[in-house]
Amino acid sequence: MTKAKAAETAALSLLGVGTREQGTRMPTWAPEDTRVKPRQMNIQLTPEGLAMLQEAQVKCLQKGVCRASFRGVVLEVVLKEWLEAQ
Amino acid sequence: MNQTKRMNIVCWADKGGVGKTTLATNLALALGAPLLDLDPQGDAARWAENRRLAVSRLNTPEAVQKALRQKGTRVADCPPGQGEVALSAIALADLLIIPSKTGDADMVALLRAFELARKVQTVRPLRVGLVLNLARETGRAKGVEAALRAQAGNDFMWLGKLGARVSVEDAYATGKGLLQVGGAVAHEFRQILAAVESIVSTDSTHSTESYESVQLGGPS
Repeated sequence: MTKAKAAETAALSLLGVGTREQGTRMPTWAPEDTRVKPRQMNIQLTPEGLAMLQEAQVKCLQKGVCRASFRGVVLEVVLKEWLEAQ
Repeated sequence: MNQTKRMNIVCWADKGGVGKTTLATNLALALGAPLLDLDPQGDAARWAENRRLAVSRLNTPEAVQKALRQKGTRVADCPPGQGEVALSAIALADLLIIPSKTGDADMVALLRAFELARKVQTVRPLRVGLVLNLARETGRAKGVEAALRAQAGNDFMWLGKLGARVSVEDAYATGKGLLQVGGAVAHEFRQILAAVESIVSTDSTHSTESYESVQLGGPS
């Protein structure tokens, strides 16, 4: 088996393609308690991330920035922390 | 289009109704690449038949894996979610294009999509591109766009955005391509197309010896 083919097989295996557990088709890496419903992302921010959010919220309020822009800041912090945690 | 190397362009999102079919059909048309419709709904196939374009409908993981292991470039329209057909396509994708809208539920789905892509990237190369679809001109949507653009980098590439326009829906219904619609729609799609073409032309994947290490089997 070539390395490329082996990597593809590994990817399929990681995603649970072709595996069945107890009659379900959820990916094998999904935790037991999520196998009957869609998995929800639960991102816990670090203290630093939380501080950044609070600082951004204060600045937004002080400048009269609308909540829409603050949501963008929230997303940026959450995405950044999640990506860095990988 | 280089037919000696393999380039699987897979349009997928964990959520429905975000523009996978719009992107897949128009990219296949613009790139001159075969279109694969993996969605049981068959929307891409219906659009292609309106234009008398060849399209392959595949509905089993085995058929998908066989098709995506061929040489050449192709564009696949996936069903939403993480069923075996979609996962087979993602596992064998070279460029995974994830369209997303700007709602809260869309952002949660987007993070799930990135997580899935990361899993594949632990064992083989996978480029991930993001397209913001049905983008409105509200402050909220602009804030989300700015945040996503700021995070684009090594983990995912910003390919572009498509605004929320009636002309896009009309184009789909009449079998037109977005480039034929003209105006702002064509302009936005051209930017996405240029980004995809740049990736396709510079990607040097699938030398069979390009992987340094491979782990076989089992969940992470």
